[in-house]
Amino acid sequence: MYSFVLRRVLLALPTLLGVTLVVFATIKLVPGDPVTSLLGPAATPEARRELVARLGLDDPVPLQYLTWLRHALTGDLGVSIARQRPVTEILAAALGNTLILAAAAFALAVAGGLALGAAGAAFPGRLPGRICDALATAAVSAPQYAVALVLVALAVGRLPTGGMHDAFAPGGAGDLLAHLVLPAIAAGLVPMGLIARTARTALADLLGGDLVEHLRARGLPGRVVLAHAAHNAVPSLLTIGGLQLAYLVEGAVFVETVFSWPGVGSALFQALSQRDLPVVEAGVLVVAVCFVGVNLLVDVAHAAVDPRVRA
Amino acid sequence: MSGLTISNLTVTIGGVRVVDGVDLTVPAGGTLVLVGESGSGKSVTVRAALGLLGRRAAVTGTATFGGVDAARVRGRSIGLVAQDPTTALDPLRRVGAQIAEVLRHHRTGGDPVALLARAGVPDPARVARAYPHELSGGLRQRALIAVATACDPELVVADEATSALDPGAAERVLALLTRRSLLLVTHDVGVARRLGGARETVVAVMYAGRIVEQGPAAAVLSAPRHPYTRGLLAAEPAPGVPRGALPVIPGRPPEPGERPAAGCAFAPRCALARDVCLRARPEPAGGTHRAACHV
Repeated sequence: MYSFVLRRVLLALPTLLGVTLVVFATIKLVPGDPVTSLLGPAATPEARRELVARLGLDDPVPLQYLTWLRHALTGDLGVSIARQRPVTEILAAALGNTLILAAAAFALAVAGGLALGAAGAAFPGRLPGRICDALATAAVSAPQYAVALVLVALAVGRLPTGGMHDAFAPGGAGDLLAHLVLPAIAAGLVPMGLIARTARTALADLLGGDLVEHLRARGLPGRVVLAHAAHNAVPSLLTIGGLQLAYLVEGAVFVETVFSWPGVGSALFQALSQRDLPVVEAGVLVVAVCFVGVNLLVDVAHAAVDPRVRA
Repeated sequence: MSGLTISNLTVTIGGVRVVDGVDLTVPAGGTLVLVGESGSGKSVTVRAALGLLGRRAAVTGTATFGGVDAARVRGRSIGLVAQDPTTALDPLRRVGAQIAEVLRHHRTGGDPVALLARAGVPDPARVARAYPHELSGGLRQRALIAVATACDPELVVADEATSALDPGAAERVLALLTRRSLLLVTHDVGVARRLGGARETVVAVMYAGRIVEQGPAAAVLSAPRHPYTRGLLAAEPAPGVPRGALPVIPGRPPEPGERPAAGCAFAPRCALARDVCLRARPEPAGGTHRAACHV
């Protein structure tokens, strides 16, 4: 198990390096000139030359990459062009907010998804099971932005539909929770449906399969048989759940925008519309690193549950 | 020692009668070989007898073991060895833990390592610590036997337990299983011959959900009375006979939904069929060696 974890961590390193390369290359390829955006079209050639030298833009591209990487590793992601604040500062706050929203949405998705999936598998073909299956399918199919807007329309005057500025502000936990309810539902609905459908399929396959039949033939009581079945459904749930968690951490851009939730998605959206390249660059990097990190966690959890993966 | 008695067992799944009035007895301390092609209903019969079919199957008739419902003593007095140990063992639990779990729930003492050794596992301590996927097919089969026989059941039900093994391994597994009363489900009529005559052995031949012939192994194998049994025995490969030279029963067994409503289910494939075979269903007749045939 320890050697498996070590191997996965070592494998994640080249992946992360590749991520930084892609992010850096994408920014280099994007049309637009950071010098013009910083100084404006009326700048003198001297001022331009001086800025180019200061930003290191006259260095060879590989050297520029290494400089950028060195700075990124030490937590220096540059300064926002639009807001004139360190990018790290902007993104740290945004990432905190996104993680709170992602955690709430994920908790909702797991709880609701497991309940719907288990009920669907427990009553196959009968009314309660059909209702749960239909709810799961509806949750998966509902477009996120539409759900968000409907929630806003329904909740006006009862729950805050926006206005979250800083999750760690002195509003207290109650204020945070009130602001969290609607975006968490909007972001958690699709993952909930996907988890429900995965749980439903995995459990139904197991309950109708050879393993459960043999466990019953061993004379084991029903709850023990169910525990075995649930245990065996965990690997496929980890796979889909991990993907959904990664997707939530990436920042549900639509949801954050509709509810003006100050997360990474909002920050990226704003930076893109302002052509604030340092923020975009760093935002994409943070999101990609989170994605790799969540995948690593899921792989390790998978190995902890399933001995076949550890080999 | 008790035997298993199945009386008038009928199983209907989705409106289709898959097993139709089956009577079987596993002699105490002996062997019943239940032979049939896939789709004949033999696996459904044993699963119904053990109460393993789900809600979608309607089961009538009885299966009793020592005077009680067989389903109530499964795992304790009746052990099931399934065909495929890869799917019958929990892939996420160590073999030893699975044996210990069975012992715990039936409140029987026992040491998983010793039970594995009894099932013919070399290096039982290592196998007890292993996960099923770390074992070879033959070892996995033995591990499954150790799980199924952990509580020292009086009867073992083996569903094609030897079909996936090479002849030598099959021989050794059979030797293990015949320490107790045995209900052996197989498509291979030759298994009955290989069991030998050391103890009471009954052969029952199943076709299209019914028992068409049943009797002492020696009698059924040497003097089969039902044309289907004769066809099965004639189609058995033997040394020196090329594959193409084996006589084949023409046609194929009917699917459970398309069995003839009247008459003998085998009549359409039977060279000896007469008018009566298509009109009236033959009932089992004869003393200890019974066959359901008009001819």
